Amino acid sequence: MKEPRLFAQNRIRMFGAALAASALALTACSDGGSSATEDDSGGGEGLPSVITLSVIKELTGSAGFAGESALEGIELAIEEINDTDFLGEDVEVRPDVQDTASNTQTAVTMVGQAATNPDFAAILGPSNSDAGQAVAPIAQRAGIPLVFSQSLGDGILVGDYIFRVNAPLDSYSGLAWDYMADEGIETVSILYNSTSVRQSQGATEMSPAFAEERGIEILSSTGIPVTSTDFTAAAAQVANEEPDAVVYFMAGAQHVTAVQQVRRAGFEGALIGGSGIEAGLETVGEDGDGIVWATDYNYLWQNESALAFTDAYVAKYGENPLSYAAEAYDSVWWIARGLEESGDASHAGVQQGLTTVAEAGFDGAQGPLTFEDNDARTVGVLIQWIGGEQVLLRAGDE
Amino acid sequence: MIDVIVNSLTLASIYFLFAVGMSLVWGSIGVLNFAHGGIFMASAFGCFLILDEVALPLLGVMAVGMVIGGVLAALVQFVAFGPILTRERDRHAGEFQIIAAGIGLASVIVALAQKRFNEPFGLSASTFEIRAFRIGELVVTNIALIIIGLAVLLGTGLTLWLRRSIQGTALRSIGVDPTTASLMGINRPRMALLAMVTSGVLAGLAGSLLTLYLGAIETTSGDALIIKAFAIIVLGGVGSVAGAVVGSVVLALAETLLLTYSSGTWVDAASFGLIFVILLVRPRGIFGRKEVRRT
Repeated sequence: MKEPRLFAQNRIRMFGAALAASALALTACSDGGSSATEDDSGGGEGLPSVITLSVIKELTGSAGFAGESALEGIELAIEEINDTDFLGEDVEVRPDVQDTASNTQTAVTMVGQAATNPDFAAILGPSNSDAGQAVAPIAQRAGIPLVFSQSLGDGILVGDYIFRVNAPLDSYSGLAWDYMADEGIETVSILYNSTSVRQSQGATEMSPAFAEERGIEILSSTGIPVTSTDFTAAAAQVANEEPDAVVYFMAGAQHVTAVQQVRRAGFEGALIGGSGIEAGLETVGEDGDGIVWATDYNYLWQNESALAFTDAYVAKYGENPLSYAAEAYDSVWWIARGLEESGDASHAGVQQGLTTVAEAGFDGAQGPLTFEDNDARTVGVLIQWIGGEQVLLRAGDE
Repeated sequence: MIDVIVNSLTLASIYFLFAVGMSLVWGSIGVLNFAHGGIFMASAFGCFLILDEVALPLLGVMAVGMVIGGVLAALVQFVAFGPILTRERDRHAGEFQIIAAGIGLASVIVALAQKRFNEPFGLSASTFEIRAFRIGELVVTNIALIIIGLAVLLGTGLTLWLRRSIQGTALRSIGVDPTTASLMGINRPRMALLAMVTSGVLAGLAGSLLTLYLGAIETTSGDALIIKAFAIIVLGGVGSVAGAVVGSVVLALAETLLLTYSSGTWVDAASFGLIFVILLVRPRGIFGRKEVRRT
């Protein structure tokens, strides 16, 4: 029965040849890091007609409020880039949005998939520091640019494909310490969230340095885990120390509780909060009257580029933006400037463009931005809560 | 030292109000209710939404919290725990499913709340004004005194109800031997519902009072308290109100002392450390009952 066997063997050979030819063709067509193109004949300077950014943010879950605000900033920036033909008449930027649900493992899966998807020019990474630490190495190994807004922990900027548009606390927190020195504050007590690396570093590393420079004495520094619901003991301790000011490094409901309980414990001095107090100002009520905090952006800032962002945001969304929106807005514009610079939407091209733009710095929603090793630095603003209103005390660019 | 004691008492009262409902349900109908934290938060969240429309006094806020808690707990029993317990031959067979269902339901409750409003929320729109009183070095607020008073009242009331009333005795008998209890004419599904609703009412009360006391909570605040409640129940003994009291006081005192005299970073270690030690030394807890195994 040689004829059927020969026929089967021929079929196998033909199939194998077809497979090899297909593989060859695919290899010839593929490019190690090209971005999405619906039409390769796209815009000027070699940019494709469609550039897709993978947006992986916490839109629900515990950090959902930050992610939602960030997404608004991203969508505003993309709208502006497209409407003004910033990258060319026929070039359109599109977001591909995914929700991590504030889950680190989900973020890892999403970034892993995005990193191997040739359709994405870059990734806008999650805000949560834990997720940031987990996904940064993935993006670096895959050679796809990843820009973080938030994600302020250590061990995130692991290579030249990782960028961050949020300034670390010490970039602008000096404003609050200068304020304290100007007000004649000589002693402070610190309360901080001991679960958060960023807050802990702010309290235990940054604050002593700032305090020493200004001749301010730190009477105590009390760490409280994020799972603690009651700070009565810590508040009583702080009130008994009678410092001139209480400095907080906290976020969310903890911040509100800590402020209220310190006041109830009888403390009447100055309160210096973290930028996390903004979300709880309405809830903290009268107890928070007079609280001062430094932040990288506020809608009251009259800096030209910050104000342009604020006006555009209010026009689109009808409310004042939070700092998360400003930071994410800057992350998109950084990429856009990088694309314009390099004229190349491949991963290597975007990376090169981002790096070049970072070397020069640019004016964004967070004001004048400079960078150290692809990590943003900003001048910040100092805000006070008085009589139920936010008041701009000073700006770092004055 | 007096302020440490008072602070510990307040914290213990909060823990007790939260944990006693969970202990009651676990000890009677054998349900380890991981939806308890979600019910706690949802009760407070419901109060927050209602206060956005109408300012309520303290009693009104408490009542709203308790109603929401009771209704949610009843729903959880109808939708999840009841069918699971009915389907399985005995409660041990359904334990894993109960835990999974509780965690799942809590996630749904939290997600729904976050969809509506995902920032810290408080009950400051209530007409109730929190005042602080200074007695020498000690500062105490009116809400703290109310929480302590209610915890004492409820602890006493629950103990008497469980020991002296027919329903309480029936509930305890289900906890000892559900089969025999059924044979004695006790309606297990009805008693299970009663236990869950009672637990939900207590969670709702804890939610409204704790939110007033702290000023604000978050949609995930119930999760942290579940761990504390677990430590308290293990320490005090499953199903024992006295055990919940002792467990709450011990945990609160340990945490307050750590926070006052050491570093706050050890506070969580206290919760887990206590669970570990008690499981080694006295697995059934201080007031837990011995299990009788028939051969």
